[in-house]
Amino acid sequence: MDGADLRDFLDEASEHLDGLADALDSGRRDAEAAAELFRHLHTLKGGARSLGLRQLESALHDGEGVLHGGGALDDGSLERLRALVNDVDRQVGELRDGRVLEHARPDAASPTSPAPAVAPRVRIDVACLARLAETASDLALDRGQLAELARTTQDARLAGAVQRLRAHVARLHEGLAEARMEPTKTLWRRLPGVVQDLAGALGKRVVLETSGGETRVDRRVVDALAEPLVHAIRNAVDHGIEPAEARRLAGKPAVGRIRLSAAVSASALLIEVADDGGGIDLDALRLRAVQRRLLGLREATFLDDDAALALAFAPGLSTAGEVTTVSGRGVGLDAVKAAAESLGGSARLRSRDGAGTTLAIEVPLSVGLMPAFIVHSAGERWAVPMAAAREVAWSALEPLPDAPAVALASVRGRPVPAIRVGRTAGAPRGAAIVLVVATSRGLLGLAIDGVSDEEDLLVQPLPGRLDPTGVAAGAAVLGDGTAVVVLDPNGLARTLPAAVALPPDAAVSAAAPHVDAFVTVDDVHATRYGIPVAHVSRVTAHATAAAAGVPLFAVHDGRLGPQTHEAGAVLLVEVAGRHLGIVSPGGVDIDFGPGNNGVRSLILDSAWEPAP
Amino acid sequence: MTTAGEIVFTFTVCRHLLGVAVRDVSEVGVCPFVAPLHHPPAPFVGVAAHRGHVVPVVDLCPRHRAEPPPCLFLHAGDALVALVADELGEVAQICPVADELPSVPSWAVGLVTAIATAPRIGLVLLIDANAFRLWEAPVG
Repeated sequence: MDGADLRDFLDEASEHLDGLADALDSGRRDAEAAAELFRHLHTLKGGARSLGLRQLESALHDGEGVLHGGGALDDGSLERLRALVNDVDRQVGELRDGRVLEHARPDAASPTSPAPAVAPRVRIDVACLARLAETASDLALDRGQLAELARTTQDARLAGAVQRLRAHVARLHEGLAEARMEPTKTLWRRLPGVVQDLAGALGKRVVLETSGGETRVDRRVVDALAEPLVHAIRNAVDHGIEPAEARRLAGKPAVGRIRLSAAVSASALLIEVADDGGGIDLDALRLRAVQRRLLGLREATFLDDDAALALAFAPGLSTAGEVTTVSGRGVGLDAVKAAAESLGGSARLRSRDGAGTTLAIEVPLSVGLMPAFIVHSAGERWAVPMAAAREVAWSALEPLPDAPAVALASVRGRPVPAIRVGRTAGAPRGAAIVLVVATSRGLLGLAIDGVSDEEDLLVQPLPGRLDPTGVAAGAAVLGDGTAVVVLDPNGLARTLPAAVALPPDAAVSAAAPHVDAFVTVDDVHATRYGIPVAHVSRVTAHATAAAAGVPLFAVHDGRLGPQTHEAGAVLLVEVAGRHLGIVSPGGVDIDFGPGNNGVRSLILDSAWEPAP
Repeated sequence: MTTAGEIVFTFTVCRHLLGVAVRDVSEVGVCPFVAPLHHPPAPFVGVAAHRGHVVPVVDLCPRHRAEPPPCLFLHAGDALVALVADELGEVAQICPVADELPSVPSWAVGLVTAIATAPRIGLVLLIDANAFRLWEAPVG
């Protein structure tokens, strides 16, 4: 037996036991009260049977027997039911404590093995959880303002208190995030029934296959996508899957197939609804857009296929040849897109003529705080999700002849395509600090002027029209009270020409939340040393730091000493009120603890003195 | 649509006097720091923080400004939009003179809904805050 299944059953059982107790205490004895008791007992019995809880099933079966005669309840039957509910309550309590010895399902553990222990859980109102999360977010924003105050006043005690506050707020957020998580499969509990009913009504045969249901996501994501997914599935059954005869003529199996999958990439959840139907008729979409005066005839004629496909998301634009009673009123894909965008995500369609349609919905795994690096480039400031960041390096940029907006950076000897961040930055050339980020296409370098800070951002979605290139994950208010646009690494990768190949991301563990970020530098013997990112003011180029008159040092066997290279990246840090730069000839990395790959800690404290 | 007799908030953009219905103005203040966007559709230039929320910023005549300019926070549908102005003008009662627009600057084409006169201040190009709605944008 799966622990998660048992936990779900126990949650459900608590609700039914509450319902049974309420019905028994209500004083009602009519047939309606009896029917309500029967419903609770019967549902519980089904759950107990599916988990092989024979003793519980048997007790519930007895309860049904008490009610089997129908009609009103008498004193005797009420008495027996109360005793029975007490017995069921006791058995459920034992299951919750992991004390029960009964699991008679033959293919499961031996009859005497104990049930998996289930950690005690309390039910909490979603609105209460949301209020707590809001308060935690406000706390994080206040912390940002305090950090800014500590920076401007250079108050070391305040800075220390802010650091501790930061750790507490981070733990609070992690706890709240965990409390909000639910398996994705809760999204599609209703869907097999929807497919079955709709296919039956349309005279079609359709199977629904699901995968990735164990992926855990923010409950608000589940809530926001549940209804739109029903629309998407109804669309797939109604408009996607062809009638059996058409499928036979096209040489396809008579039974249509809809594949519903969930997967995690970087910090996003990708849900796909793929059918093996006829695909979307793009000319019909163009025609419908003209009829609905969304487009002129000439405009529609010259609309490329991708833009025509995007029309399917327009409100009220049905793709069906005729409006059907079930889902052909054009309600559906626009609702899916609106829900995805309201979560800061996106919805896209892929269609192959005769081979089917895939709807891809991508949303952030969590709609809470997002840890991000604040980077600056060409006088502009942007945020980059920390979950996607892999490495920072100083590199020469070699423009690609076929793609002038892309250059090849060399990151620890490995070529990584890089782009300039910022509107006015122009083509990448010369040399720059390169922040390497993981994208759905592979690793991409962002050529920037420096990393100035790290903040937990409450990301707000941007309307799609404001971000036509799709490179923004949203926008947020920083601790200093100003706004910043959060870049979406996947969106940036999508702007690259298809011919530019991105190297694969070796560390595909980005979905795991980071514990502590620290920046690593190389010492003169190429040994890596780590400094908590909170102590780092920013990363800049050697020339910039030297021009600003910052005293520069290199790491020698764990201590600071004279610089040996007058090039590379410089980590600007503050130690005991002194600002200094640490030169790292091989670039700087961002690592996430505590599994720090053998990186040693560089101790920077008030006792610090540079080596002679 | 602004109608005759309505009270409008006037402001200048590139030496043109513009007006927007007072009912559409949530607040007037100094424009907050504008975070740029990648290729936003004109006249949007970026986003700014306003009372803890991110609002889109509209600059009808973008150029370098030495000082933070004044800004009108407008109700555009359910959302707020920050509209950058060069100078703030008077609050005036207007009488529209023509729905047919003679010549309006290129940046105002599609935004100006009518031309009005107002006592003492002359011609005012009326704009509709709903032109900056983003969430329920039509396709195409």
